[in-house]
Amino acid sequence: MKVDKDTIQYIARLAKLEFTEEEAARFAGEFEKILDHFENIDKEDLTGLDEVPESGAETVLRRDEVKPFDNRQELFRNTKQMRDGFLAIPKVLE
Amino acid sequence: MDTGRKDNAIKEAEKMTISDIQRGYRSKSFSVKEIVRKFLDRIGELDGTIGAFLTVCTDKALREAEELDERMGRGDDVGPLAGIPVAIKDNICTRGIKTTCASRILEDFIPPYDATAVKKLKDAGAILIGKTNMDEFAMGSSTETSAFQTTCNPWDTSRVPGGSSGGSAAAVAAGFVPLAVGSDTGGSIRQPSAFCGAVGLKPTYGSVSRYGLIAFASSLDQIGPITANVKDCALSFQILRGQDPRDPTSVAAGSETDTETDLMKDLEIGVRGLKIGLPKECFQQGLDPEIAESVQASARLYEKLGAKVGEVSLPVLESGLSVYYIISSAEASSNLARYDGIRYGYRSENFHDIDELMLHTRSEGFGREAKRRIMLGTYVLSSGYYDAYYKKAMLLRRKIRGIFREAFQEYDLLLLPTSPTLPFGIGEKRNDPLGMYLADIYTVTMNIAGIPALSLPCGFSRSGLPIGLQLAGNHFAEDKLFRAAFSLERELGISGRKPVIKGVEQYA
Repeated sequence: MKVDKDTIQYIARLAKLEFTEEEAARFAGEFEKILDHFENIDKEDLTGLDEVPESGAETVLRRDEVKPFDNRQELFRNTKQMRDGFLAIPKVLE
Repeated sequence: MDTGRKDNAIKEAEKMTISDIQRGYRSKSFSVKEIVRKFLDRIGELDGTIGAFLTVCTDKALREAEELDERMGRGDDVGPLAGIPVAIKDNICTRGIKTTCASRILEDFIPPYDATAVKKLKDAGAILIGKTNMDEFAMGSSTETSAFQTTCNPWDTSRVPGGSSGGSAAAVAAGFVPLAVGSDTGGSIRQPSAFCGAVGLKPTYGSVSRYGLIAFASSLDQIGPITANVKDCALSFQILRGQDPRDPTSVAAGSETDTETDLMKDLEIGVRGLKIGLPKECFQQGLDPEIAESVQASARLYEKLGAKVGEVSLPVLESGLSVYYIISSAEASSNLARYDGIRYGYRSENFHDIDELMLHTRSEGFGREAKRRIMLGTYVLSSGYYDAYYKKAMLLRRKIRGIFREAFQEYDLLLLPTSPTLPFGIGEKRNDPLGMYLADIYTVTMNIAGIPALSLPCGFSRSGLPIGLQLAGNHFAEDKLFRAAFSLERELGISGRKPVIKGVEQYA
């Protein structure tokens, strides 16, 4: 599988990451090796397999109940800035 | 010369197992504070050399030890792990104590709550000593992708401790704690345990709550204990396991899942009649001959102990590795999308608009390996490649589960190496990501199948490095794993051997 710098830059945009040209070139080389290795899955026979979850797997649900978090101060200590009990964040709309 | 029993009893704290410490508390040979102080002193003395800890909670630990001494003095019920010092991997949330995932992006993150595993340990009376180094977001097999420090293997400080729970395994090996908790997504408890000569369990998926474990690949991640011997490992797992309403993938106790079995009860009944399969694919090319020799010698010991040992085929190792890297990277790319610099975590100072804020925050905050996994995951999920990679990997996951199911119809346990190589040198594989990935070949398939597996020290190389073997069982067969591991450990007689770390002499 040939991977070029443009592909890397395209994927980077999807992943919200940024690479210099040199970094992208280096990633392209590493990617190519890794993806070549991944091709060993093509040797496997996949007939008769489907993606539907196996029997026995079940969805676990709980009641949608409000449970107040008792230590607001600890919760908000990881934010950069608070204003009037709200998180203050950089302006996101012009 | 006799300085009294008390002094002697505590002098070798680093060699003490959980059971030894508990015995000492019962006979009042020492107090909790004395034990905690002893371990903290050893960390202070030697962790500059090893680098196992990112945070050491000295004051908090001593305060809790004092409280516990008081409660013990009053005769209170203090719990099954009362006064046992424990280290926690830094991707498991601890209320009020920094939890970084060894990443710049969570450098200042202080969780407002405890992970369920941490809560269970605290409720059992354990004393949190500190948080251990790891590969960034648990992505790596050497602990070298940590953004903060390199951890050295206590058996040879020029070598890696393995990863990603390298700090936890090194802490147990160095005698800094009798119990460290790690997480295992593709071998991250077992491989460092093998590299450091410790016992490490990756439990059945769902048996230990993941609530508060910072997610890497949610369908594969599992928390488990690392200890110096099998008995301590079983005792610790017994505390950690159980259903948790806060983790819907955690499993309820019941006849089928049987999470209520008392693991200590049958620990010593031996392996007579157990059927143990050796997967032939594991003993082919790529395996270090000394490891092969050591694991096969253990297989012969099992026969001597009365187990039935036979050859089994697991034709999934090579494609299993690809399946693992496809699925885990895909889930990582989704899980790590939350780190955007908006609500918590690192935020770049260099931005004009929201797009730049996210772009720069993520590009500055994540290290190279985390970026590589996010990129790989984004790639295999992107339109045009989804069918070729992710969809095929999910189908193969079914196939791998089926192959294990078949193997366990014939065998109780599988016996294989934990790692194909001995601990490698620091820096040796840093620029060879594929080479690093290939080191996980024997461990990842158990995560794909969700089955439990344990790494046990089974010998030493001629160069004096630990060798680990791996026992894998069917879902919820931890009892058999512990039974078999305990028998072999007793027969081998190498448990309790500790590395000599430079600086120990001046300490003693």
